[in-house]
Amino acid sequence: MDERLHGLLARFPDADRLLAASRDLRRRGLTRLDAYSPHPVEGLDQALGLSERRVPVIALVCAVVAGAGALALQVYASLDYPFNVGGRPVLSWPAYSIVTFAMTMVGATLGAMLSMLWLNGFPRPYHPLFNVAEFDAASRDGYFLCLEASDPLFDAERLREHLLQNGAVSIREVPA
Amino acid sequence: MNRRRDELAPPGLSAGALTDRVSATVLGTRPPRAWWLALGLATLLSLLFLVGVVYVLSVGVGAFGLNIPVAWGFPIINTIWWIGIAHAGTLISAVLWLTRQDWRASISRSAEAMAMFAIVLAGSYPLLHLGRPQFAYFLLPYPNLMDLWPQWRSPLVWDFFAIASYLLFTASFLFLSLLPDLASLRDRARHRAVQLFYGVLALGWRNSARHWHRYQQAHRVLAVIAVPIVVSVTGTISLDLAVSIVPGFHFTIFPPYFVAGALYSGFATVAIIAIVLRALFGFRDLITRAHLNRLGIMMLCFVLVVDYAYLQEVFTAFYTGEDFYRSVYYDRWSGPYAPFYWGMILCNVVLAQGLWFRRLRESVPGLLCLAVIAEIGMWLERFQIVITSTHKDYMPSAWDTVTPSAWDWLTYAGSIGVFVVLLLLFIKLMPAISMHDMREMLHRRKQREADHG
Repeated sequence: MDERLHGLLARFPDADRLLAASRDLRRRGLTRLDAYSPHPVEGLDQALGLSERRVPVIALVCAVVAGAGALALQVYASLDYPFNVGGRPVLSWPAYSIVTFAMTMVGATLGAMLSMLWLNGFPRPYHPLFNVAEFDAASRDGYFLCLEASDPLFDAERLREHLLQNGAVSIREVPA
Repeated sequence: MNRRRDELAPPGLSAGALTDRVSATVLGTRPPRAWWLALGLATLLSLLFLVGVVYVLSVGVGAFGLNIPVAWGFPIINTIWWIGIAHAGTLISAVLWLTRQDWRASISRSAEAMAMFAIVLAGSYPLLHLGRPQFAYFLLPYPNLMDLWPQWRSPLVWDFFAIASYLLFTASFLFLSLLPDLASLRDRARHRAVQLFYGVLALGWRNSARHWHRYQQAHRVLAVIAVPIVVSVTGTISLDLAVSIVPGFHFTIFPPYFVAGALYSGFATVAIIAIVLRALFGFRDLITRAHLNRLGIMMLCFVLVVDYAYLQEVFTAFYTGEDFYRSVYYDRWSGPYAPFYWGMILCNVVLAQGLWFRRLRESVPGLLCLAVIAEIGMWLERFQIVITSTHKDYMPSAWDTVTPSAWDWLTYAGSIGVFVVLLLLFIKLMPAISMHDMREMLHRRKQREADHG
C-alpha cells in the first residue's frame, strides 16, 4: 500500500503550529517534506532547511551578461560603422549607458522570473496533492504539511503520532 | 492619531473571508450593472481611438496638429503623460513593498494593472508618430544588408529601449503578483472551463514553502530593480527634450522633475481607480479612507517637488542671462499658449494645495476632484513643455504656432477609453485586490496584536 502513497497531508490550525511541526519533523531527520500556506510564512523556509539562493544569483548573472552584451553591441556597432557627429569620439560611452542600463534590467527581470518558474518546476499541470479536495484551502486559509512517502524514514503510523502531537487537526493519505 | 479611523481593513476580517469575497467578484455570477454601463461607454469612447488610428495611418501624421517647428505635438505629450501614470504602479508595488508599507496591499494589484495598460498606450503614440510605423523595427539592432545600426547616441533610441524594457518589467511583475492569486481562483472555481482557464494560468502553483521561498527571492529582485526603473524611464524620456539645445527643453532639472510629475499624476490615477473599485465592488472596508489619505499624501509630496521644479526652471532661465531662455518664459506667460501655462499653474500649484487638508484627502468627492485636477494639470504641463518650447526657439523666421486638430483630441479621448476598457476587463477577469498580499498583511496584523497582548 505504501507504494501507492504520495504521502501524508496534515492540516494545522495556524501558521505557528505549522512552523513548529515543520521544525520538529525536520529535527527528527525527515528530508522529504513540504509545507503549504496561503501566504509566505516567516521562518518556514529555514525550518524546512531551504537555503538555496539560485534565483538572485541567476538574476545577477543574466543582468551582467545582458548589460555587457548591450554595451559590447554598441561598441561594436560604433566601430563597424564609425559615425562622426561634430567630431565627437567614435566610442562615446556616456551615451551608451542608458541602453546598457535598460538591457541590464531586462536581464535581471527575465533571469529572476524565468529561474523562479523553472526551479519551481512550472508549468506543472498535474500533482498528486491536487487530488485532495481539502488541499484547495491552501490558497485560502489552510496550513498544510506534507510528508512524502519517498522519504527513507517514512513510516505512516509513527509519523501520524508526531503530527497529532504537533497539533494537526486532520491527517489524510495522499494517493500517488 | 485615531486608530479606528486609520484602520486599513475591518478588524475581524479573516484570510478565508477575504479570499472568498475577492474571488467572488471574479467568479461570481453577474458583474454589477454599473460595470456593464461603464464598459459600454468606455467601449464607445475607445472606438474613437480606433477611428483616429486608422485615419492617421491612412493619411499620415499630417492629420495631427503638427508642423515645423512644432514637430512633436500631441503624440509626444500623450506618451509622456501615459508613461508617467504608469510609474506610480511600479512605485506602489515595488518601493512601498520594500519599505514594508501595509497600506499598499489592497491597492497594489490595480496599480500594477494600471501601469501595464498605461505603458501600452504610451508605447502606441510614438509608433503612430513615426508616420510609417511599419518601419518601427529600424530602432532595433538587427543584421541588415545596408550594414546600418541604430544611432546609439540618439535619445530616441534610448527611449525605445527604456519603454520596451519597462513594458517587459511591468508585465513580468504583474504576472508574478498574479500567480498565487490565479491558484486561489483555480481552487475556488466550480465550473470545469473556469478551473482550466485559471489552472493553466496558475502553472501548477501549490503554495508550497519552496514556491514561496523562490517567489519571494524573485519578487525581491524585481522590487529592487524597480527602484532605478521608476526613476530612469521617465528620466530617459525627458532626455529626448533635455539633450537638445532648444530653450525650454535644455534644463538639467528635467529628469527628476519629470519623475516627480509622473508619480504625481500616477498616484492621482491610482486614487481614481481606488475610488471606482470601492463603489463598483463595495470594497469600502478594504480600500478605506486611510488608503485614500495616504494616496493623497503621496500626491502632495510629489506635487511639491513639481512646484519646486517650476520655480527652479524660471530661476534658471533668468539666471543664465540668455535672452532666448528668458523669452521662452515671457512667451509662456503671455504668448499664444499662455492659457495652458496659467491653467497648469492653477491646477498644479494653486488647487493642488487642497491636498494639505486631511478632510479633503479622506473625502471621496474631494480626493476625486483633486485627482482629476492632477491629471489635467500634468497634461497641461506636458503640453506647455512640448509645444511652447519649440514653437518659438531661436530664429524669428522659424517661429510658428500650431493648433491641435480634431484628430488629436479624438485619439487622445479614445486612448482614455481604451485604458478604461482594459482596466474594466482586467478587474472582472482577475482579482482586483491582491489576495495573497492581503492575507500576508492580515497575518502580520494578527501577529502584532498577539505580541501586544
